[in-house]
Amino acid sequence: MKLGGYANRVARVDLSSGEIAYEEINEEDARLYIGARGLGVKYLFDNGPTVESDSPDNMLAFMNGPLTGSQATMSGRLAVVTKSPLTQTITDSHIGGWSAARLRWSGFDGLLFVGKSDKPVYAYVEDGTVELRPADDLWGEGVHSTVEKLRDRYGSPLSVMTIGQAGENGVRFASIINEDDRAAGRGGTGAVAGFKNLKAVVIKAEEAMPRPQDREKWRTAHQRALKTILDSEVLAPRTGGLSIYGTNVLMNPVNALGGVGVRNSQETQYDAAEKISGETVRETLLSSDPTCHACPVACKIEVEIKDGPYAGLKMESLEYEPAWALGANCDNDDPRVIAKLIDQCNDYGMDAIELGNVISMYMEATQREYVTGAGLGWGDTEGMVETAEQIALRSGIGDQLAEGTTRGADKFGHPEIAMAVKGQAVPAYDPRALKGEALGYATSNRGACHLRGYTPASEVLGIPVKTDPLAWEGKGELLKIFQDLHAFSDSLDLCKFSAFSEGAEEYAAQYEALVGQPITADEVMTVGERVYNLERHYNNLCGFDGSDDSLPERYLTETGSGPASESVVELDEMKAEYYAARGWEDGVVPNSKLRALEIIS
Amino acid sequence: MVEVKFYATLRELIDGNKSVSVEGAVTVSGLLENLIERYPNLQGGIFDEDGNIRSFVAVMVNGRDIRHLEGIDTALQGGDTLDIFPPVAGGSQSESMATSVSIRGLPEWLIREYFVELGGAVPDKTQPLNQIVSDRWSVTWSQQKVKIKGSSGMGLTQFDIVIEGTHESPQQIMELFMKKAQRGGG
Repeated sequence: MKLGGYANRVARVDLSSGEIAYEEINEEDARLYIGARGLGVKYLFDNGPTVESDSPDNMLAFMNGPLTGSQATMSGRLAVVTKSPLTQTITDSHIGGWSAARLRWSGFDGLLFVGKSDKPVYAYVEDGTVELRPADDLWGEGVHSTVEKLRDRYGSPLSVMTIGQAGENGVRFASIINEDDRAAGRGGTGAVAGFKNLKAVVIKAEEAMPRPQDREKWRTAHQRALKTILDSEVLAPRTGGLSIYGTNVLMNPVNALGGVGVRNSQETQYDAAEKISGETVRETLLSSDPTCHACPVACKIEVEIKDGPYAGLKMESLEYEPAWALGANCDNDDPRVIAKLIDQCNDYGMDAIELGNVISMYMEATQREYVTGAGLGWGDTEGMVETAEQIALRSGIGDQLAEGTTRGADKFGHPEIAMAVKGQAVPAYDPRALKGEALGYATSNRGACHLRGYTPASEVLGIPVKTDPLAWEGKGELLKIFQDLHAFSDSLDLCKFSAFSEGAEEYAAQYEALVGQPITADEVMTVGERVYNLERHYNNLCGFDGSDDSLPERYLTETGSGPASESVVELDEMKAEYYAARGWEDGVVPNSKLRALEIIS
Repeated sequence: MVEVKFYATLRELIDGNKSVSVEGAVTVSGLLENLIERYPNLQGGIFDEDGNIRSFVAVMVNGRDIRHLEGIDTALQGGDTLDIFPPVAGGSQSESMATSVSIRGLPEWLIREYFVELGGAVPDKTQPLNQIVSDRWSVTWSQQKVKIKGSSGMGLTQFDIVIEGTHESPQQIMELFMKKAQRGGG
């Protein structure tokens, strides 16, 4: 392949036979889909969209982009791409830290796992080779002790991406955790690894950044991108809101909009939001603010619990999403307990957003007397910690809840209390208060998700322009632009935060200088659109259509609180506007669109 | 007689009309008073609680923002045309010779660079920092700090940008600028 930047090497690991083949990257695919999310989805697509998620045929891809591990700011990212056991759609989940960079430095753009090992193994990656090594002594261990054992064994510099007990036990929302506390959180990637008996991916590599094809252009492109970050009032190190407080700086402003779901979205404004906000956490619990490869923002919030039943716990990172899911959503106003629950998620390897929703669903089932037995009351923090453990170990009620919010509610006979779309639970922006997010949840290709198209940038912060969060008109077009832009940055793979300060021009300039392939800002948006449509096409071939672009009934019929007290979601109107902007027919990509985007010839 | 055109959401405040004719007004101030008598809902759409024109509402006389004229004291003559833009983004789709947008998240130097890349002249030191001029259009902006509601931890600078065109539709320049200025996050 002529394109620079890439390692031009992917390992295809057949866990059934133990065979490992090394491949170059198809240049045409690299031009069309770039890398990470885009190229990962293409590998999954070529592997066949109709494979069962829990079959050896499903592929689990760890994919870097051409910028991963480079000098580019915020480039410590990779995408884990697979068919989700939670949603049965394509899914991709991104991870920060250093594993992505080390994977690139060890000589790989990606690792593709297929098949199923008959015994637990882990993949050891070093100097352009992959070996499968027995993991019998690690199986049954949590993330923290797995990482510790492997670090003792191999020394540094080492990165470990591993599953905990949740992945081993097939919890449908199990995550893959990177270096103790960074998660490829959503979609159940950890359950796929567990099914394959793949405990971990271990990477040993010294820094070896890819060299830009055009060093002059790179200097200009890199400096401009970096300067936008350093001058960003959102991101700037030590002064930007996200740098100082982390993502949980959003708790108060979203609550002010009436967008913080309380007690499983029965209300949308939380009296105790301040107690679990980024401001309070910084004041009372913060111990450090770690960062990822090539990132000056350092948004991670490491905390130390000084008192109460979890005194002595040191963990990262207390983010907005879990603070909502395990806090307001469950009527738990104690940030120390939120920290404990997130650490459980990190150690068992589970998605904190789904866990919060499955617990709040269980709490509502208890409130409405749908459960036999004592159930779990709102704000019962000890019960939450116990339930989290039961889920990871699939013991007692945990076995039912380990199936996820949608399946768990079905088993109670009350699907209406599952706040989920396509089987994946909602994140921390109530759809009634932010209509762009409502549409984003409904149409996301991986089930409810705030990161496919992050409209709160516009609806809460006014970046790049302020839109009325309660208005639905125009959100279809707005969402499409956000989704396409993010699909491109996810394919580079740069952190989502980069998009607060960089746009298509900055992405194009960095790609062009590093890879040596000209690209315009318009082409950046077209690539993003292509990736988004390939995902949608994959899902269409699995049987998904417009009827699956839905929302829980509650958001369509019950109003919220505060500024959202008169608001329900105008879903049909928004979907019509969105499909028109996308050129889709009832949620299905027509062949003409697939051809126009060069997805099919 | 002066013709006043309204855009986007402001039209809802004047019973869905696109424009209104006003007789006898000699200043913008007098004209707005006249309009509010006829359409009381306009009060909140145009003025803030202190009686000032809301910061992101743009009032143009013959395509010029009154902020760059005499403000609400700007004199009017028969045959003048006014454009009133609401506090929304993305520019308007009107045939007007001016268009406006309010953006956040971009530093001022980058706004300047973007407009230079769109054909504006590299500003020399005598020019104001908030202006880029080409031979077909000119752009100016003002800035203000906005507080994010509910947050003690975040404030953002907003740039209220006005593009005026002479030979070329300012909407086209705005569209190209907004492509450059598109951001996301997450």
